[in-house]
Amino acid sequence: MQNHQPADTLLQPDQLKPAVALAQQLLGQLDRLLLGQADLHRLVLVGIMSRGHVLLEGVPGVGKTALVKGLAQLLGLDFKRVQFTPDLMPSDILGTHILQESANGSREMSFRSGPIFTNILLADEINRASPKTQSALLEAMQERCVTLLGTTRPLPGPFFVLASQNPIELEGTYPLPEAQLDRFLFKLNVPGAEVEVLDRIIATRRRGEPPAPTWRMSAAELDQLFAAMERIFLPRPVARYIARLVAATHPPAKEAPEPVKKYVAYGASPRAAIALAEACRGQALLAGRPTAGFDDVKTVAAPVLNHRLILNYKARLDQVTAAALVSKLLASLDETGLNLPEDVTLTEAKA
Amino acid sequence: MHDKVIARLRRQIAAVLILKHALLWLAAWAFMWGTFVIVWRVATGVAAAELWLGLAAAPLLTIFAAGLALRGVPSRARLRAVVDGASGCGGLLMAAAETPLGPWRKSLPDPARLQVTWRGGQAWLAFLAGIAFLLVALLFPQSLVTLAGAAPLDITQETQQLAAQLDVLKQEAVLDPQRADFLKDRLKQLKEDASGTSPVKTLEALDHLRDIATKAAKQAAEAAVAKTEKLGQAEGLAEGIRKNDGELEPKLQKQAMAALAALVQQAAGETDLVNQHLDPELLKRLQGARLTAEQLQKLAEALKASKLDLTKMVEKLRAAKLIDIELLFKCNAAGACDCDGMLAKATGKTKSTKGGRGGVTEGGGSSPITWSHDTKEDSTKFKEETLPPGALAKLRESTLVGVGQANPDGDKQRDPSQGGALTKAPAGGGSANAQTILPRHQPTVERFFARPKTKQD
Repeated sequence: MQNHQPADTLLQPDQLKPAVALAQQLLGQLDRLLLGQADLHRLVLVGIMSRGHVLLEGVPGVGKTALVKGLAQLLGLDFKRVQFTPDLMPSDILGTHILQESANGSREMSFRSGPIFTNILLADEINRASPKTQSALLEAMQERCVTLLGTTRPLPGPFFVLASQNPIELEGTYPLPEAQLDRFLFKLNVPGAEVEVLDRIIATRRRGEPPAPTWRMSAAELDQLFAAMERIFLPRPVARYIARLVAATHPPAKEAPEPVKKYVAYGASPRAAIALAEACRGQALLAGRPTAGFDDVKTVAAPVLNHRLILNYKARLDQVTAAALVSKLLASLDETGLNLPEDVTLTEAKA
Repeated sequence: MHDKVIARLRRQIAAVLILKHALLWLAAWAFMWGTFVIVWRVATGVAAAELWLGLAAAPLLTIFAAGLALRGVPSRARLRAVVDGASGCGGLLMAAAETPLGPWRKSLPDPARLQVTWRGGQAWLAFLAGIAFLLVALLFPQSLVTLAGAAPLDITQETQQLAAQLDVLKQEAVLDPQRADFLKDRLKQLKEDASGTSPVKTLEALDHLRDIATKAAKQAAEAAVAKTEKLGQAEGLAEGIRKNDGELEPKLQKQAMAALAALVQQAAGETDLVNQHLDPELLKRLQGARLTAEQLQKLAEALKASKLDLTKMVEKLRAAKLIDIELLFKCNAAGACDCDGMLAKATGKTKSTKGGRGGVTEGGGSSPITWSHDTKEDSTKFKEETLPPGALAKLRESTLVGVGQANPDGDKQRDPSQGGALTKAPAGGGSANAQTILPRHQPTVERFFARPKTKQD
């Protein structure tokens, strides 16, 4: 287990700049490989830098698999893909013990590792597999290790699960349980391409194949990036804001707005607060700042919280989405917690 | 520079919060104190200068409000976060409070110019309204406060009238001077103590005093009527003896004189006859001795003068509205002089055969009816009666259910016939059956009972 030391001193500019440059370069390459998804690429990179798992949801053909493959190529990490089907078994992912005959003729059980033993695992259409198979990823995603037959085997570092799911074909699918959803740092919606983007794709790519990357990140550079992430400073007021934000997703909370009280059955867990803290650091790094601010939290709040709110039947009846609730929450909650009376406000003086 | 901005912002917020709390607390205190002042002034009727001392609480209250307000002032850390967000520092300014910025300090953007905006209209309005209310409560004229509060009950007219009546009773010796003065003092005290908060007690006391006066007056008037009757009898006898002087037998003369002496003696004992009008010598001579015609005339005049005094007294009581006019009429009627009748009664005989004296032992025997004068019209006139209070109250509370064409049911209104032909009949005549009729029927019935005018009228 890594020893995470809190950042009590700021990253110096000369230390931050290279990391920012690396991140920007990576982003640039991603944008080059996959057209028209700059915001998505940014968030995915933030997720990677935050060492979190990402769930991509989008209709077929928007480039979810291509994104993950491209990312793996750019990061220079080992990549494996698992197509989740209804008949997929946990051993198909984690590995299994097989009886093998050794050279001397004796037979012994040897462990054949599954595709999960990789850096980036693409769990394609994760909602097609049975809950038994889905739950096989729980320990791996959280602990980054696999326990089989009493033996715990660590997964290679860094380890990311980038899963995809199709929101329209729901027949024969198994929605991910809340426990598993909670383990994904982000749930990102992959939108379809706009006309200009489609035009460029058609014009510049045969069969839609992305070009080969012109640059790859080395392992050292990746470590540098992660090291810089470790030093991004989270000020106490921002940490306080994150805590208040997550607490306000629970209906009984004092600061929970009316829509949350009305439509939310269960709010986000403490894992969401940790995810927010890490993600806003990644966002700050991408912005070239050594510290995370309130705006960084607001940028990553929706991807972190959208899939963590469990709504009640009223929300279904009124067709209220978690994204709408998170927006209202961000708009209603004062970042600094000034608690000034309603008739006293701070405004920017006109020049 | 950022620290200065944060400090200035904090001071501005503190000032606004202190002002807001002070205005609201002062407004609340002004309304409370103003209400207390109003209640105090109405209850005690005094606009004490000490009530202004309440204003001394204002500075203390302001300090208290300031203390409360300062508890709501945001901390420096929170204001630093506000400035960080407004200035686009991206968390650098916040981090500066926890760790050295080092070279990053140069890249801190200039702090945003923030100002505190307070929509204090409601607070100011409440404060001004409270102060206005307090000033009105303190400066409102006390006379108007008293007028609107416990106004004294004005019974001047009633007390003046009653005092005049008591004076009349005192002058006419109906009441002892001491008693009359005592009652006047009580009346004066009643007038001073009369208050609008308890008019019932005042009016009851007034009614009690009025009852005392009217009862005393009525008793005096009735006594005067009795005395007048006796004086009238004595005068009648005196005149009768004087007119029949020389014609009566000595025995009858003596009998008549004795009766006269008895009547005069009785009258002298009951009135001021001896003191004011009758010569004591004449009275002495009257006892069993024969008086000359001249002396009898003097005696009759003295008796008449005494009768007049009594009538005047009763008239005064009537003028002071202490008694009804009936009693005055009674008094006048009681003094009627029946010379022949009295002489006949005293001697047992009359000039001509005129029947017996009557009575238990001497009754019987036919005797011609003696007409001394015609029956007076007064008794046949409609007697105006004031309805008893109960009936009047009933009448006031009753509701008109309809108007009928038929005459009222006479049986219900008919009073029962009195036993005895002339029981309760007034002096000089009357009617045995008293029938209550409606006011609109009065003229008709009057015309029915109207007497034809005689030559004497």
